[in-house]
Amino acid sequence: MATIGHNNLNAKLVLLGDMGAGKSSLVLRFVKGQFLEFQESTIGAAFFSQTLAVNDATVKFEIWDTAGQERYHSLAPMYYRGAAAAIIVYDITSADSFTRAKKWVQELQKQGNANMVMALAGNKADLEEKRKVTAEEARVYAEENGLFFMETSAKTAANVNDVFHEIAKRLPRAQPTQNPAGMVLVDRPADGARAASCCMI
Amino acid sequence: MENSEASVSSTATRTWHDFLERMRQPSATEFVKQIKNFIVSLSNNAPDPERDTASVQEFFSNMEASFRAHPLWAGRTEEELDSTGEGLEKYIMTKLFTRVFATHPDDIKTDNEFNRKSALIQQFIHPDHLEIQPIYRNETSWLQAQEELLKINTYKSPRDKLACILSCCKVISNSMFNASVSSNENPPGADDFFPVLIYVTIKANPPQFHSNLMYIQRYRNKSRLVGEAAYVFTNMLSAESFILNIDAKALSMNETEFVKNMESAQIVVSGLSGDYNGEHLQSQSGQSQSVSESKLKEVPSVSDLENKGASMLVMDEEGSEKFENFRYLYSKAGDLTVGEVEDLLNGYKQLVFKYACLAKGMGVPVVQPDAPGTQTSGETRDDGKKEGSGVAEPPPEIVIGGEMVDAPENDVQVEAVRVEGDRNDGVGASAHESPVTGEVASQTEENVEK
Repeated sequence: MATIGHNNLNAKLVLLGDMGAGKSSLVLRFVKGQFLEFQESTIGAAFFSQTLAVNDATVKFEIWDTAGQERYHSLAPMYYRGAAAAIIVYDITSADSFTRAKKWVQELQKQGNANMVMALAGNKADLEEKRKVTAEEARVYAEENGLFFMETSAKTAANVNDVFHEIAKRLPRAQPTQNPAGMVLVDRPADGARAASCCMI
Repeated sequence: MENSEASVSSTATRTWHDFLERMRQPSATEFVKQIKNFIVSLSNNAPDPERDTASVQEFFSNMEASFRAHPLWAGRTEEELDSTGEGLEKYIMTKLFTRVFATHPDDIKTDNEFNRKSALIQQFIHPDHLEIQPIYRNETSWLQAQEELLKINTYKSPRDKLACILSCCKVISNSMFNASVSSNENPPGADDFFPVLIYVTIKANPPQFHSNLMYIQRYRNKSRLVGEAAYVFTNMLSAESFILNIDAKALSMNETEFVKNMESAQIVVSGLSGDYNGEHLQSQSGQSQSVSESKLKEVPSVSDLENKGASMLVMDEEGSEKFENFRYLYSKAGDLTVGEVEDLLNGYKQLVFKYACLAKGMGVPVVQPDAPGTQTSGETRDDGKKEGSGVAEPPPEIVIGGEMVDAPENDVQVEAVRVEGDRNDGVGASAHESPVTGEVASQTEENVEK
């Protein structure tokens, strides 16, 4: 898989985080800054399909946004089931959103896919003067829990692409089994067209 | 929006004809035989969702592999192969529909639960309860989205049913997108989209909703329930789960307020008679036993409820017996004693009070009856008697019965839609594809018989 010509990796990536932490702004900033195939989504900014080139392979992310309101929390497992990666987003100007992010991390560690690549993103890094969560605090937490951490700004685009690229690099290659609900390894060039046609029904 | 929908259905029709055309080729005889055998073999065993799902999915994938390897498809594009696969799914599932759709007792139970809960919650739910932002509130497009979702029962193939969910979501997100553009906001993400989807689903309350979702999940070809379709479908499952579990907290209400809303909704929905909630309200109002009896007679006298009840009474052979217990109904004024007049007047006052409360609860204007009061009370009693005799429950069951018992292809769909008909007259008419399904399916059947 990792050695031959067309290395296409499909990866489901789920976005978790408090309402207003900027989950969808982050993704929008990411997909708008890309030059590779960007599949126009029919349902707003809640779902995106975006392909990234990493080293000798391409990773096609299917990005699933989730509703961050507390009342929808218990539904999250339906979304992160089978996900290859997760970005847990909080707002550096809100201590509550960081607490919430830590809850997500714990939940994913307990119930998520064991190989899931997790990123912690402290968003709204441009609002330094309103900061409530220090970068140090978050970094220590991330290290203790084996996630990678970046502070991002959907507004200035700082670190936004880096988060996605870093995830793409960390995704396990040559997965031996096909997980029907999550990562699907394909090496047929026509697959892109097929997936696109499915979305158009 | 309209254009894309038109192209969706024409693509689907083309796909379908293409599949049937290929199956008529002499070299496809083997496939036709396999398909026929599969349907027969599956139908020979007792229904078992898990086993049936596995068999069907395995059959889809084996057949598609065989198509790919067969000379009939040599040099065909991926799209053409895809289209044959879609045709196969539609053919098989149309044939197995009555066997596998809404036949599991657990599914039927959840259908009823969902239906009951949505019917109650839709009476009082407000966009605030779900944190739907004001800029995204658009009742007109929500109605349109409800209509798209309600079309789900006009189709039999998993793909067509799924397409109804997708178009419902598209209507919602298009309107939200436009709202975001005009107010210079970012396009809406899931924080904004999902609550609206829940709201629309509660308001639409499609009959047999859980069964529809399970049917798609089990029998939509797994290799095609991917990408955005998978995301949208997950949202729908997730919305269903939220609705089934709605409690006070889920709607940012306190417990008392939630219970009160549910009770009022219950009265509106079923024209409550002497069951628990009714007794409860009764004891609160501190009235006597005779009032409790008169409560049986009250029901919202909204014109369409009236009409519905009237036609049901006409159909009911024992309809006239239902009036016999109302002692004043056939009385003449001269027959009444002074004591009875007082009794009647009390009854009248209670009736007016209940009518006003129920009309308020349903959000309809309180209309002054232009006929004399006695006549109004008589009419209301008719309905009250009917509802009191337990008519509130049957409608969902009638649908289920219709679906399960009456196999004929298109009748079933009409049956299912009829229940929502008053709200959604367009649905039956726009079931453009279903007749095709029935007709061509039988043509292929002839081929299969050969």
